[in-house]
Amino acid sequence: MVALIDPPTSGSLKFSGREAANAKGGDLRGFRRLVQMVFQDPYGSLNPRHKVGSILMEPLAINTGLTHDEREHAARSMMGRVGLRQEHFIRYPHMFSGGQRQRIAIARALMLKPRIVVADEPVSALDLSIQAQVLNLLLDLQESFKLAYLFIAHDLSVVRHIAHDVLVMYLGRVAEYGVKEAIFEAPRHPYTMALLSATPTTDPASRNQRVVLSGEPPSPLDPPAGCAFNARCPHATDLCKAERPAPRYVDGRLVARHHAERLG
Amino acid sequence: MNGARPLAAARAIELRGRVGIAAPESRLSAFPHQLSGGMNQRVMIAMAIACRPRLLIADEPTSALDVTVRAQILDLLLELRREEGMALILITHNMAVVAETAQRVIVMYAGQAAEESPADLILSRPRHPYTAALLAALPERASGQRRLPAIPGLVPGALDRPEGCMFNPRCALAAERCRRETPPELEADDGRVRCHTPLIGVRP
Repeated sequence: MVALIDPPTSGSLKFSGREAANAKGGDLRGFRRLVQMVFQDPYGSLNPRHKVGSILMEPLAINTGLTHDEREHAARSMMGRVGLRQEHFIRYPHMFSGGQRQRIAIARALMLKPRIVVADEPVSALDLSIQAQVLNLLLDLQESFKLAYLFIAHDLSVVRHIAHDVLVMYLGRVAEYGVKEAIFEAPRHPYTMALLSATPTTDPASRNQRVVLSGEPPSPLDPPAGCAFNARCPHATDLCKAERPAPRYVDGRLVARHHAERLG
Repeated sequence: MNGARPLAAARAIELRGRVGIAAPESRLSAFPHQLSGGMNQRVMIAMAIACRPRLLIADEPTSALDVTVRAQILDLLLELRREEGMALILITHNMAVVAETAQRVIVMYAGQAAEESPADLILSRPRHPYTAALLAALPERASGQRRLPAIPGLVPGALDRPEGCMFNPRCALAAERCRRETPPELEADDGRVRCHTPLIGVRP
C-alpha cells in the first residue's frame, strides 16, 4: 500500500502532506518515484538476463529524461556508494554472492533518489557474517541520502538495532505502535510481550521465562471475532471475544487492546 | 512395520499426538497444504521419530517459522530428545537458537570445523577468531553502537579457497603463517580449534 500498488480500503495516505491514495497518471508516477522497494530474496528480485549496469539504469530510463551517458554515470556513481566495484557494471546477477546481490538491489532502489525505501526482510536471507555488512550499509545510506525506511522484519534483534519507531502487526492489523524504547522496554500488548519473550538470545543473563503461546496464528482470510489475538491471549476476557479493540493512545504509544491499562 | 496397516495407522495417530497435533485422528487425512507451517513441521518431526531413531538431524528446522511458533517447535525438539533418549544434531545459523538448545557446538567455516566446544563456553569465551567475529556482529550484542563490527569480505566459494587458513583473508588476527600453512587441529580437554593463534590457550 505504501508502494502505491494496492489502494487503501479506507482512511488516507499522505506524503509530505499531499494525499496520495487516489493519485492518478502523472501524480501517481511522481509519488512512485518517492517510494522504492528492496525485497527479501536477492536471487529472485534481480533479472538474471540483465547486467548490473542495465538493472541500475532501467529506473532512470523509465522515469527520467536523462541521456544514456548520464544514466551510466549515475549508475556507476551509485555502485561506488553501495560498495560495488566498477568492473561489476557488466556482470550478471548470478556472478554475485547473496550479500552483493542485495547491494545491487539497494542501489537499484536508490537510483530515483526516493524519500522512502520499503525494505521487506532485506537481511534475513543472508549469511550471518554478511548480515552485519548490509545493515551497516543501510544505516550509512540512511544518513547520506536522508531516507526513511519501512523495514519489515521478524528478527527482533535486527529491529531493535535499526528502528526508531516500531509497529507490531498481528494478522494484518496493528497490535502496538510507538518509539522503539517504549515497545521493547515496556510493551503493553500481550502479543508484543509474547514475541519479546519468545525471541531467543545468546545472553544467558537476560534469558527470561518464556511466555509460550499456545496455538498458531489464525488464517487472515477467516479472522476470529473480536480481538484477532483472543484465542492465544493468556488475558482474554469476554469483551475480547466480542469486540475488536480500536487502537488508542496509552502510556505514550498506540495500542489495540481492551485491557491496555493492565501491565501484565 | 510392513503388513499391519491398522497398526501403522494407530502408530501414526499416536505419533501425531506425540508431536502436539490437536485432533490427530482427523488430521491423518489432511493434505500438507491444508496445514500451517508449524503443523507441517510437526508432521515432519513425527515422520522422523516414527522408527525411534537414536539420532535426529534437524537442518534449520525453525528458520521458516513465525517467532512464536519457532519457540514451540524448539521446545518440542528438546522435549523429544529428553523423553525418547535420542541425540539431536541441529544445523542452524541462528546463534540465539544455538544458545538456547545446544549442549555442544561445532562452528563450521567453508566446510571445515573451525571450533568445537561446550555451548556456554563458545558463547562466552570463543577460541576461534571466526566465532568471536560472528558473535560480535550480532545486532543484539551491539550494545548501543550504531555500526556493527561486521566481518569484511566474503565466504570463499568451493573453487577459490585461500591458501593456509580458510579464514585468513577475513581474519583481523591473520599473520604470515596463517596465509601459508593450514592450521592444525588443536585439542583441549573440552573441545578443539583449528587455528594458529587461538584466542584462549590450548595445550598443543
